[in-house]
Amino acid sequence: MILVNNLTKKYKKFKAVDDISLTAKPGEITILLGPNGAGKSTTIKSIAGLLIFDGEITIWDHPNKTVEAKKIFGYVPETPALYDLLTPWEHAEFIAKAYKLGDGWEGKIKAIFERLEIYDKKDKYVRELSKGMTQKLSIAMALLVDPKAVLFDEPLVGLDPKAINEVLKILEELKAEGKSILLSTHIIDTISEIWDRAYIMNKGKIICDITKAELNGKDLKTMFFELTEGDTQECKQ
Amino acid sequence: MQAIMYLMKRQFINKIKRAFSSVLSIIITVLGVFGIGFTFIMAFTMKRPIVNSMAAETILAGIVLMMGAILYNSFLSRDTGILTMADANFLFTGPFEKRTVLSYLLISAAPASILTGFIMCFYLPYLLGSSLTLPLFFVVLLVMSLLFGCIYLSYYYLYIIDAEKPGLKKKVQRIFFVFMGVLAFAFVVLLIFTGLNVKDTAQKFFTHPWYNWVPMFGWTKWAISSLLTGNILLGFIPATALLVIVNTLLCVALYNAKADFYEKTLEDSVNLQKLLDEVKTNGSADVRSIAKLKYKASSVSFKQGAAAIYSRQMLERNKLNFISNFREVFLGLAYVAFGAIFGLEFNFVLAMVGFGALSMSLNDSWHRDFKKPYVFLIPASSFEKVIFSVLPGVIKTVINGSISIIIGALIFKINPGLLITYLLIFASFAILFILAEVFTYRMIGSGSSAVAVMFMRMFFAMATCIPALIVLVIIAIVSNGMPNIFIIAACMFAINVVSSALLAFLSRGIFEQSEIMD
Repeated sequence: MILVNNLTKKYKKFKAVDDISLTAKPGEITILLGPNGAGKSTTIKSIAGLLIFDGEITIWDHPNKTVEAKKIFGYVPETPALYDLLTPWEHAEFIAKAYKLGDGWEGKIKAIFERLEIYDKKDKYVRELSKGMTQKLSIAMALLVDPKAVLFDEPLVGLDPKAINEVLKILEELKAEGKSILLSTHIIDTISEIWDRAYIMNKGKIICDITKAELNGKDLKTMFFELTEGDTQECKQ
Repeated sequence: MQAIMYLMKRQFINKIKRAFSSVLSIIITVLGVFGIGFTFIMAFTMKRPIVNSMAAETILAGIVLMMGAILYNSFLSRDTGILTMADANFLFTGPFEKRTVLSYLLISAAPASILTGFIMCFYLPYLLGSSLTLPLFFVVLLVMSLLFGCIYLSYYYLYIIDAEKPGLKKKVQRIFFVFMGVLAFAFVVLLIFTGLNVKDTAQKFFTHPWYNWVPMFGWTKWAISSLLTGNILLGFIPATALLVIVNTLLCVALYNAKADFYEKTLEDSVNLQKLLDEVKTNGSADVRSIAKLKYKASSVSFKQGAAAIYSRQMLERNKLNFISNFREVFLGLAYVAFGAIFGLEFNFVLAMVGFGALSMSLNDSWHRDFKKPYVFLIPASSFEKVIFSVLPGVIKTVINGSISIIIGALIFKINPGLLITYLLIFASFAILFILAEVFTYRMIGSGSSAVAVMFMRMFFAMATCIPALIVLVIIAIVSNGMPNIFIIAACMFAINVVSSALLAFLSRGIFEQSEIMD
């Protein structure tokens, strides 16, 4: 479970995230929606322990900046940040050593690479891979550690339709395994089938917290535009 | 820790593997290793003069102070970052203690210090003469590495503390300026007492026992000069011990730093990544990747057609701060000051200033336009596009180099006629050199190996000087001796401009067949 309580992130006087609280429960896909500059990436980065913030964040009861928390969460950044001079396989080996995965990681990463169709590129330097391939590798690295909680920051950007389908299937499998999944995205149509709980952000605040059941057949996309562009300021569920 | 060692080892091995990944890379690597190795061996096997110990000490102290100060100042004035984006993301989100991340920084400072030390020491056998034997060279390298260790480690430490207490780096920079100001003031006072004789002043200043106590720079000079003169017990050992102690203290301080530096480092890793991406794509980094931009608005009157490329580059240039736009001038003036302090010939200083300006032109941004789709789509001839893409870089190199040469000529009291010939020669080679680079780009593209591309550019630029040299020989034969230097300069200028125009014409394919169209 990812628990965020009263998170505020300031850049000088500007509040990028303003006193938000959210929960990504086990066995649920929680999505963060919002227009550009709404504070989605800042929230994800704060949860990943990359930013200094006010408030409290725990991952399965461990404060997010502790090694215990880091051991159990996977993070897919907005822009793949990989080592140019390492191959995908060497990235996996590095992660395996860093997380002390022990024997068997080779078979696991092989299966993930094959699933994401990058196994044939496992010995190429990352600098030789396309943008989509690096995004797939980034996702593969997050999955290799068998995380109990996963943070995805715009994971579908740059992927081809087949890869998007595969990632969606992976998300559902993670959900079925009882993992907590928090995902920020712009692409509402694509995730409309799989999400369970949505937080809509605008100008650093959460303006809507809704579950799929609470939508009552209403379209999430329509609601999103009503909240972020229309007169409706907040949804009360 | 095991994972971090694995990461460092793999990156190092893959760097070596990449140097042998293609035929071109193999050739360049072999040539490079052979060239460096040959120069290194030659430095110790050729007959070298015995350099007066005071002169050696002065040269050494000057180099150490100049390079150390430049490096320190650039660290303190920029936010280039200390980790790449990949490092920041993996290390900060992975299951690592903060101390493990700090250990990574500590370990990575060692090879960086040794490499910088080696670059600094490379020409010392020539400058310090026969007193620097091969075994002593390695000890000197160790001392230099200790100096750079102090610089890197203190930078990392300040950076980390500054992340939690913003403004510390600025304060330290001010202290550093005061420190340099005190040294400069002492130099000026001594200069007045020695009757404005710069060379004598430099010798007295740098060889004075008090200078040995100047932190880091003085200690380094003290250690090396004592080593060369055999003063081990009371010179080399205490000086080296001081450097070792500072390194140790910095290691301990860095390892125990409590500040939360992840956010700042992640933010700055984007700048560092930009720089690395520039190097990866173009073989060099453009100053704009890291330069601070002016806050006030800049404007330019946009010209039409291909000349709009020129206007756009000028607009970008106007947004850079003064230091970024005139960095060649500062380097040139450093060479001029170096020449004046050590009593070098003006021709030598001119060569250094020219070489400095031309090599800095390698970092210019003309190649950026070669990859922009909108530039390809401008309805103008490819030849014009090449010219206007390169023109701002040419103008900047010529103007900045000329400023340094003019100031140098004034200091060295060169007569105006001779100065004009020097300026003509410099300008003609600046144009030629840059267009030779463009042509090399046309021939081999940005390539996969940055070192290979850089080497080919330098090689090709040197080759394009041949027509001017042939003309020079012909003039000498026809006029039965060396003619007036102004005639030589005018002929060289004409030949180099024609060669440059030809190179620009041959390079026009950049805007017709490029990797962007593949």
